[in-house]
Amino acid sequence: MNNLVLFIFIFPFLSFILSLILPQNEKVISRWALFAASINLMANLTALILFTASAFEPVFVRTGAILESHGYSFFAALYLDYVSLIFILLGSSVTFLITLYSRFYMHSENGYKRFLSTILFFYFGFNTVILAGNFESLMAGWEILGLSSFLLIGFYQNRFLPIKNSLKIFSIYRIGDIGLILAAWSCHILLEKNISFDQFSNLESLNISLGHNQFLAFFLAFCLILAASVKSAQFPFFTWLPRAMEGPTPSSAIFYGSLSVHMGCYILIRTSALWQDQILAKALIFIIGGITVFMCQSTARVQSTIKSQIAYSSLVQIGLIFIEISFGLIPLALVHLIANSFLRTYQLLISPSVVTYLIKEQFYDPKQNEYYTKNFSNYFLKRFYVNSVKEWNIDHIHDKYLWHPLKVLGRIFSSLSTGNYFALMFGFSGVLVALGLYRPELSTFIVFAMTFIGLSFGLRAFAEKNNAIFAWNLIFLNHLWVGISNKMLTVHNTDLIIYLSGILPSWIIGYILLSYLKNQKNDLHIRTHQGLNQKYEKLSLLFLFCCLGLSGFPISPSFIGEDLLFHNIKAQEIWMSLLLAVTYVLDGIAIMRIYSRLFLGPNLDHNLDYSLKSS
Amino acid sequence: MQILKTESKSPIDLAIDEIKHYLPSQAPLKDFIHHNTLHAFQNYEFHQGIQLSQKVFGFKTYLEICEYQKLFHENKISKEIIFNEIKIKDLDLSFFDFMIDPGLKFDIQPKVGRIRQMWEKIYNIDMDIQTYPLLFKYICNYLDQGISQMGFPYPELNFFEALKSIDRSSKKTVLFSDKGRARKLLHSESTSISDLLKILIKNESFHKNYLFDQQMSHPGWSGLVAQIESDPNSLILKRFINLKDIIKLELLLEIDFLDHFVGEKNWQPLDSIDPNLAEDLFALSAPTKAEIALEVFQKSYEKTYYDQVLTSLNVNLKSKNKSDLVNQSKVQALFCIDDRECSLRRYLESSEMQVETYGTPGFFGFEFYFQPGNSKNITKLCPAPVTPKFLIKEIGTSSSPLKDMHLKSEMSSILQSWVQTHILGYISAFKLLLNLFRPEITPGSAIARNHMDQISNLTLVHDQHPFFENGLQVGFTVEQMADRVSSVLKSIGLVENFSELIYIVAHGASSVNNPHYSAYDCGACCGRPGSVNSRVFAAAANTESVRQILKDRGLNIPGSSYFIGCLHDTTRDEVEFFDENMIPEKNLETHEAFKSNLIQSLAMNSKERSRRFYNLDPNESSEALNYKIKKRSVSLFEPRPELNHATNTLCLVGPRHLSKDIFLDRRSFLNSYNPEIDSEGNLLEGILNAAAPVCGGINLEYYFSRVDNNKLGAGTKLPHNIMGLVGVANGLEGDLRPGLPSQMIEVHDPLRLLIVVYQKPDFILDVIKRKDATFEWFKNEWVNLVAIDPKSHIFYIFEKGNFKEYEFTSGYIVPENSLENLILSTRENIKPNLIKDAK
Repeated sequence: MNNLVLFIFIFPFLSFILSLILPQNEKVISRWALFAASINLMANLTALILFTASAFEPVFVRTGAILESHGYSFFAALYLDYVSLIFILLGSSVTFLITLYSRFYMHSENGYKRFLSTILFFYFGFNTVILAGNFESLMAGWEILGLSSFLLIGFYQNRFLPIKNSLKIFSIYRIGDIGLILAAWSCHILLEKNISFDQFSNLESLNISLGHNQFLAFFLAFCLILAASVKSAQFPFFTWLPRAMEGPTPSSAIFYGSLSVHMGCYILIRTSALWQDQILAKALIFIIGGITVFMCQSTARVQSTIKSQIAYSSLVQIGLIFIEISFGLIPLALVHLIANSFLRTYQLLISPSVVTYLIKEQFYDPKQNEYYTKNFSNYFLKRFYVNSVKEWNIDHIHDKYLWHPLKVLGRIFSSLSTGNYFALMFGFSGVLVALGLYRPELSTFIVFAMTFIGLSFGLRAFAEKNNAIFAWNLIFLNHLWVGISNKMLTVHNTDLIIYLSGILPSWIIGYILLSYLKNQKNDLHIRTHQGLNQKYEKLSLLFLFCCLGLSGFPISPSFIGEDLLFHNIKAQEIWMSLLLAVTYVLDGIAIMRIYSRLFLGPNLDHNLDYSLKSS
Repeated sequence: MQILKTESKSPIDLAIDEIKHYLPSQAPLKDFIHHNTLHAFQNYEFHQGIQLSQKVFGFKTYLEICEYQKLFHENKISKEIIFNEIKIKDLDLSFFDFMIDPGLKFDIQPKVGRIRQMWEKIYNIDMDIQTYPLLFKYICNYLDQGISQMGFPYPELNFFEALKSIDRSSKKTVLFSDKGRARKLLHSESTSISDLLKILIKNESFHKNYLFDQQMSHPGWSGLVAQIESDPNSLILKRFINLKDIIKLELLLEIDFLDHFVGEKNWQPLDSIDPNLAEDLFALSAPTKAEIALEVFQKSYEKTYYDQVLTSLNVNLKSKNKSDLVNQSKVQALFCIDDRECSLRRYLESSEMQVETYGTPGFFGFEFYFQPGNSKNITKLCPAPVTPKFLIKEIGTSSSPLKDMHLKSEMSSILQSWVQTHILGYISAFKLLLNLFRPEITPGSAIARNHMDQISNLTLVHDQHPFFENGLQVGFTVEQMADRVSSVLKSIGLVENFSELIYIVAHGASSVNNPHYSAYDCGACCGRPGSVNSRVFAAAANTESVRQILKDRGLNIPGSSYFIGCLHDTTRDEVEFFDENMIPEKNLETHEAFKSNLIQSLAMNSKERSRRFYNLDPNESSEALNYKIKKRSVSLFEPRPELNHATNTLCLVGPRHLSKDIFLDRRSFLNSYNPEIDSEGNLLEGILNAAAPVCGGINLEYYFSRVDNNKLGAGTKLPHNIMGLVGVANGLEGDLRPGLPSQMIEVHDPLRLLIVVYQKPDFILDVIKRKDATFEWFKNEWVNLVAIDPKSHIFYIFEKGNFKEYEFTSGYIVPENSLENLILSTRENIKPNLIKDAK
């Protein structure tokens, strides 16, 4: 059984890697993808049989410590119980169906291979999240999901709306990432060890640890709920879901109809041991679910486009699933969730048929006319119609209270001239470091200030418009400052080395690539999308890898480094962990923004062969 | 009159009228009919017009230079013809080197959109992103034909009034800010478009071009609105909307956005705009060198193909004996002129029975509205410009459309939706699995034969149903039927030698998951299958009293001849016969024989079509391919159930022997015409008045969707979202995408239509000049025209308003021995060729 679980985990990864090196030949690629999907499905079915035979005994597999550092050990772990089994069965069967569907549907589409590779990549991420046996593994999968989302929403790389929405949704996902990072951190602090999920069943000891710091316990629950609400598009984040439906219909079906959007529910179910005794946390989940049900129900009713109607109807059900989870009705939630997954997948796949069907219905069934024109409920009209059409202004609220303040902050920093700005920041940092050497008791303040200076680099990169290289360098500086300040918290050099080992090369290579582009007489502004990938296909791919490296994606050792940095933060330094989390999130967005603006979008220089912005 | 009219309208109104002219004129999805995408430029010569549209709107109206160069290197553009064209243009021969220079670049900045860019330059805001989502949502919600569960409030009011009423009765404004000046402007009766424009732009001379900028940046919704404004009846649920309303709303949203997000005090009306931006957008200018290169390439590309066709016609005509031409077949069949029927006709002709075939527009001369048995609504079954006075009702039908809860579920309460999700959810897993492995017809499929219930009755004869409904006469009188039957038979030249059985073959198409389904049906029947029309024609022609009248007029159909209506499903390659139980016993044997011939021919047809479909192997047996083609027509995952009119480039008007043994690769509309019985030119006039706009419209829509699929086509259909059942768009916030999706045009070669008429050139010239609208098509060369003199067999080409004798470039062709080898040889377009053995 252990070997089977290992296989179930590793095979999707291998199939993804192999798909990358396959030639650009539809038949070869589609056969491989279908083969991989069938193997996944069969392996999962075998697991089901063995699992049943072993009387539902959970399976736990872990690697040895990948890294051992002053009492902290980083390891990867897999955990399979009935919840994860149900999820991987759901995932592999939906993926199998969608792969089968896409083989023909995607024929001769530009990016056929990219599409199927991304689906395989997505499945690998999904699998990793579901099978993850500890927070570290879960986070790795989580990042993969976020990236594959970005790639699939922006599948049509040279139209404006998909690119705009993919970046927007990536940014919202990063908010969820804060939740997960902080949840992992607070969990480590509370339980004083790198806990693996199999230990959740040991409730008693868990309760004791959670009980001794109730504030932090609630903070942990809050972070988990934040991550779950973002991923499952619950209040106040639900507007991203209909906007994610920019890719080919099957990708919307698998992602936003089915698997990805239910990941929030999974996180809550998986970590229920951490919050189920906190009445406040349960109330919070209930309220979020309830508000979502209410708002999305009314929004769904006024949707006149089929995909957004499906999206909002689905969100109503997910809201209900949240409520079910808040009452601890896990089996009920699972049954509901599977039904909703299949229903929305199918509905999205047949969504173009709605034209023939409903026009026929309109034509034959005159009752519809009466129903349709019948007087509007005055009450609904007064209170909710406009709100529902405007999707409760959620987007504007995000802009106004979240993104706009960050941009304003960034602009404050960029209002200084570059020279002055650096002089000020470097000078200030120098003073802080010096101070730190002479007055060690002030170290907390100093570290905070240093991290904040680091954050200011990130903010400025986030708000930068004119110079991609400058923004790129700022992000590196940001990482450097974070690393240095963290170094002050601890005596270990290894942490810093590991942290920078992924970031430094990515930064250097990225810098070289950008300089090359500049030498090729490209204006590297990031005000609008430039669509350079049409001209520099390979380079754009390489640069994407640099972006991943720089943002600490799990392909680079910096992913572990980030974890180590958090580990150095102590319980009473919650602000420090918050600041650090915000920095990462901002960095990630700023990095993907550079990539998106430079390489994606319509290329207006390219003849007249571009799409209108509105299309 | 003209002057009076202009005086009564304000300059802004005139500008809006002009904008309407340039917006895409595509009807809502259910009535999708092909038309010339750039109809607004049709008053210019073709190249002049499309070059102008390039400069003004940035439409890409030619292939890219590198594509032409590639075609040249693949010998698909003849060098000789290029040199000819260069000579005609009075250019130096070195121009050729310029054309084939791989470094040749084509750069153009469209004129439209420049004023609007100022917002971004000055205030650093992207107004489009902010205003479009709300604007599109309101329009879509208002026009919605049945997707939303809770419709637009006040649907009985016109759009702007309805919006105002919502704003009044709701606490929240429909605009951005609850307390801004825009909300007051919204309710003030005296607010005019020009007032709003003044708030945004100081100098009035820019107003017109600003409106162009604004509306042409979302041509999809604006175009649909203008279309519905001109024909509110095109929606089943009536809506009253006009372009002025949405311009007004958009201006209000812009003002409110600036007030709300930039701050009322922080922005001023646009001023100090480059005065050039007020210029007339449509001022003509001399073409650049690169444009001339494109023009020469395009002309040569077309002429290279035309020359192959004309050569094969020429060789074919010279090889024919008069004695070959007498009909000896027991069966004749009338088809639609549709290019998709070419190959089936070829197979029937070469089948055992040697069926004689004719082509005529697929409504078979009977124009009427049709009311299906269980519906109170009517649908038009004739060419779009015609307004019929007749109604045919279906009676005695038992069928009604099937229901599918997955496609429409009315959730009234949370609890219901909870229960429904569980039940439907688990069912859908099985349904999906089933459709992937065993695709079958579902309630969501568009199936041609469901257009009319096969076993129902039609109210054909007015005397049996002597009443009128809503001003429409139910059924036709005997006289009216006789008129229509005789005019069709005469126009195709079938006035003697009637066979024992004469089939009237209508066509329709079947598909699933296809919002453009109505584009696949018969264009002459308003995007519906022609089944009712064929049944009506056959029944009328079989009526004894009709035959008597025809006989009196000298059209003697022998009593032994019998007409049978049927429907060819062009996607599934199957045929359904109507009123089979009424076939006289003496004809049954021939009918059965024909059926078996037909089944074989349909299978061969499937085989010929299969070479275009990636996932089919044309080497398989024709029966197996026929089965697979049926299966793919109902597969959810198949975005190409058939290729519709893709590759169309020809329209032959003449007797069948003109092209009978030529393999034209399903690229030709075939309209039968007998010059010998058309002394006045009335028959030809009727044919060309329909063929030029219909075939030309289809051809040009394919042309423009192919060369600029991003802006003039609908882009790839894979991410399409259905908007209010009226159109498709990308994602949630995109503009409507009129035109054809890339899956429909990817195999199409952008060549203008060539109409070849078997008639004397002077005669044709006289006929086409009779109607200005028709003449414009030919004079401005939006379609090309060649005449073949029936006596001398000399070819004439129509250029710059005159016919001149055609000079062949290639001169001869080597006939192909086996059709099957030819078909199996490639999946690409096949050159026109003579076939020795057509089986």
